[in-house]
Amino acid sequence: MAGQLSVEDLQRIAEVGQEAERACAGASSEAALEEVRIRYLGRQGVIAQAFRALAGAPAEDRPRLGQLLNALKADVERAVRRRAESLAAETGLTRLAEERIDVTLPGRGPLPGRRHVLSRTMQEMAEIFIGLGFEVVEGPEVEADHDNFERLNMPPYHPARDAQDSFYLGGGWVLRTHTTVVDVHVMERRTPPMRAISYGHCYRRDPVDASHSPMFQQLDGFMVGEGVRFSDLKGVLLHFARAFFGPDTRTRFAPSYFPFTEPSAEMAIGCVICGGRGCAVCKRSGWVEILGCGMFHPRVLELSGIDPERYTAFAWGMGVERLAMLRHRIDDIRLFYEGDLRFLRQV
Amino acid sequence: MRVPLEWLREYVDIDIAPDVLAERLAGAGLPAEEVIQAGEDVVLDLEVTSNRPDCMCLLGIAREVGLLLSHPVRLPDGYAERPRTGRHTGRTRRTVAGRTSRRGASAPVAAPRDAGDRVRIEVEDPAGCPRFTAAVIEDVRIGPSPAWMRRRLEAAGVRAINTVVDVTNYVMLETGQPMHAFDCDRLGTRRLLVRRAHPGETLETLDGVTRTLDPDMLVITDGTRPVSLAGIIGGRDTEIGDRTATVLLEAAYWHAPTIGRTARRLGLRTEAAARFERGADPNAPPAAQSRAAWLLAEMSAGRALAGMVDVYPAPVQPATVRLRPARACAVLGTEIAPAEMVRILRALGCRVTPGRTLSVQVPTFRPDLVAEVDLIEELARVYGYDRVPATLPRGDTTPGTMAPVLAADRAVRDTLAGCGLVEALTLTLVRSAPQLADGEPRAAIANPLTQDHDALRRSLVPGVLEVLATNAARRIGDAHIFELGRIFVPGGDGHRPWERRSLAIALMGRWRRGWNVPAEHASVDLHHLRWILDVLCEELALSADDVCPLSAAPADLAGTSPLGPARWWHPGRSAELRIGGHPVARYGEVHPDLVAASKLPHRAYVAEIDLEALYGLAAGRPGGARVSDEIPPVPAPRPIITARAFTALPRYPEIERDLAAVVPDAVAAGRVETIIREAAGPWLEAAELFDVYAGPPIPAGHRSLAYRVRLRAPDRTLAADDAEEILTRVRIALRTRAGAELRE
Ligand SMILES: [Zn+2]
Repeated sequence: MAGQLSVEDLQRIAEVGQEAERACAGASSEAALEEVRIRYLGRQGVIAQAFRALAGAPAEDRPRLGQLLNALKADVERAVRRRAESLAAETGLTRLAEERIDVTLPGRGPLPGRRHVLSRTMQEMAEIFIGLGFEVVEGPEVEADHDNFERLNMPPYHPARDAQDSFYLGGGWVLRTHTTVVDVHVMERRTPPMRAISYGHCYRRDPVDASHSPMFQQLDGFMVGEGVRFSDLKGVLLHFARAFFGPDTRTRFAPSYFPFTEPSAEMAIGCVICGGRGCAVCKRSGWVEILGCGMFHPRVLELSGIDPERYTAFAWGMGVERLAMLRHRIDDIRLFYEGDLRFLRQV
Repeated sequence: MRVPLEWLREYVDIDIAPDVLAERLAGAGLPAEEVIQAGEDVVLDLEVTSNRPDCMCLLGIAREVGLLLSHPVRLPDGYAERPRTGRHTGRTRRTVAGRTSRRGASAPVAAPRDAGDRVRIEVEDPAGCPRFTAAVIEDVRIGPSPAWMRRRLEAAGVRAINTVVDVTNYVMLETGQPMHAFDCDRLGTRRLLVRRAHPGETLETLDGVTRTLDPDMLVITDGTRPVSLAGIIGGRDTEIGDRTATVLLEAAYWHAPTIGRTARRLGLRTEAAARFERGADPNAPPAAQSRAAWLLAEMSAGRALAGMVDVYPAPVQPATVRLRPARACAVLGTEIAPAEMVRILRALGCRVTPGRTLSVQVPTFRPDLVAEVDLIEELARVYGYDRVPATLPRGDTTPGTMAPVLAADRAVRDTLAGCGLVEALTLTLVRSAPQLADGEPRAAIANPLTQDHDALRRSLVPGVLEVLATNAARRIGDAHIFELGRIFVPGGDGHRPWERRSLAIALMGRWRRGWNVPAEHASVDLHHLRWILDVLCEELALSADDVCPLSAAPADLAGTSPLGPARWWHPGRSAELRIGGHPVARYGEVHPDLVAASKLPHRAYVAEIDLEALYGLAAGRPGGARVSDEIPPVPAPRPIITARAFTALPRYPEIERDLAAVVPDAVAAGRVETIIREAAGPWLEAAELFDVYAGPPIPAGHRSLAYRVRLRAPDRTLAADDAEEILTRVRIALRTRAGAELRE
């Protein structure tokens, strides 16, 4: 092997390099690759033996051969490292693939809780009026007949009491027929100006059907001050209607009668079911009444110790179920109090 | 009020389509409940509010239509003529005025051929009957009325009967003045006396019912017995029959509240009562009499004697009301010119004297117009509510607020919904028969509509159990619900019931749903309920300081307690939760007997919480003071749920140790936890129970409770020695106080 570097020597080195790369590529597992590495790069491996054989080469060839062998070693090491990386990536993928699950299985977990549509509706309505500076208060459900009726200008046997046939408990106690009675309590405890709303259970002795329940929820409000006008009542309720039913809601005020307001009005909105074209809900009129309102009768203010010449007041009252029924297209008031979970979860 | 348009056109021209007319009337406060197409004609079924007696007749509606369409109103034949009153009526009035006796007015007998000669009218109670007119009709022919009259009556919803009765109904519908016809020959003495009924007096009314009267009711008697219930319905004995030859026609004016009360008391809502109780026109009876006489003559059905009897001791004068145009504009928030106001008021039938303040004489057919504000409403009504602008209130606005108790309700509702509960609302009206054998008296409704709703609920528990049952019956077996509302504790004889805020939670079935969820992890149980209560207490910044088995608590709390009796719950699976020594909740598995009685398909869990007490405690009011329906003198008092202060996140690491104590079954887990807390001292951050085990190698009658104890000091890193010292204290305490063996 002495003398000039033979073509053979050079070829041999190149062949070893190609063989090693093929072996790396062919190693199908980390263990097989380790065998390849030991065969070429191990202490008894092909390249180590070649280095040892270098000693027998002619002195003038050694540096050149040494360079070639070092380059070969680096090439093989790179090939082994690359293959190791790609093998690691492959086995990682395999493992994740083995962890595959059926992603189309349905979800699993507890059913969510939900607040009653009426308690949410009342809260939402209250928030609209809080935004207009109203205070939200509450009053008792059992009232003195005197407070519920007389102080609202409805003496016994007044024809207007017909619309509010009431449940009595004995001893002159009555289940309140409207939350308007809370207005009276606020007025007797406070001094003007004041604006407040209240909501909660009311009771009327109506036979039960799809639109009547002996117990229902009402929301009432009023405002007392100097220079409070009927036009302010319209403005406040228009704001409410648009906030609750949407910015395009149309409203209409028509004369009505309540013993405790004068002038009295009924507010209707453009039917939310048919958009005003006429349907069964609005009795083909395109309008649905949603609340009664008016300026408090001077007598009501007087009975609460407020000077009706100095102060004027407006007030309104509305059935919460009716508004919720219109908004959610609910056709039977009894559903609210039956407790069927399919209903309670739906609306 | 059914208004056939064909009939209405007799009094006023209508040159707009029926649906447009209905729209205009609605804008003026007379909405049509229905527009009925009746053959060729259209009938408007108008809703007349109880303050508008003047609109309870065709002429009244014609006046409104004339006002809206600017058309004149034509009065019917005979109506405008004032009938000549009897020779003696003038004297009658003087007699009344001069007398002080309770006898009232009387029209004495006079010469023949005059109504006053045939009948004598006495009014004993002029306050109840301010006016009574009587006409006598001779040569009466009883038979069917002419077709046109029958058609109109029937279109208006009144059954045609015979000439005389039909004329009285026709005149009532036309003019609003109810009339009553007596068979003159069947009146015993021909002397009619108006008086209060005697106690226990009876009258068989036209509908065949014998009614017992009381002294608050007014009757017309023939001197011996009642023959008519004043202003409401006639008596059977003096009814017009086929052989009636002479008729006494009554048109009177009655005290409205008396008629209203009697009609309600007897449950007799007649057309006449509906008009009188609203307040008729005291000056209408003569015109109605003359119209009736004209119609009977026209139909050849009878001839009125001259000299109608008119007992009217104190004629009602039209009221005069002051109206300040500036005040009207200020109240309405719109400018209406004074001249326009005068025009509107005159069109309504008022006499107006113009000036800075208008002096307005109101016609007697508008008894609802008594004060300035009534006239302001009339102005707005005719001017058009829709022409009043929408404005926002002027002046300072204070921020809106919510009563603390309502804000607390919202937080509780949100918290419970966050725990997976669905909010239910049930009727507060319940059956007084105790469904749950709670033995508690309930506040009874004196006039219930049905037996199902004859009392106020005493507890929310029956309601939520019924919701579970309702759902179970509809094959919905998984239900987790709550209700927040008031309960009513009876106050005793005639006293106001005590209203108290309460809360109930009811659980049944699975709370985790879906495939492959092991049953023991899927189903609700007592511990699930306890978790919800803990979350609720935490929301209110409270913690239970005592939980004891319900079997160790009093079976029944005090009679006014808002918590139900112990027998509602399974004795071994229920507890009472106390805060500050107050029982605030009872909860656990529903007693199997109650499960069966409520028809529930399987075990259910229910908690009853005295929310009023919890709020009182949260607000720092000892003893759970009342918080509901307080309206304080000024708004925005202290909240019930205060914002919680932030505690700095820990800066030093924790040390965790596990500790398993084998204790006799009689030692409650709560007791073990209390001992750990007390013995560990302030560095104990948490002691979480993570395993409960019974079975080998644990000796029988014992169980192992394993806790993960987390220790942390706020100001330094704990050393292992510190932890060991604390755990040693805990072990000793468990051994000595709970008889525990410690497993490592
Ligand atoms: Zn519609």
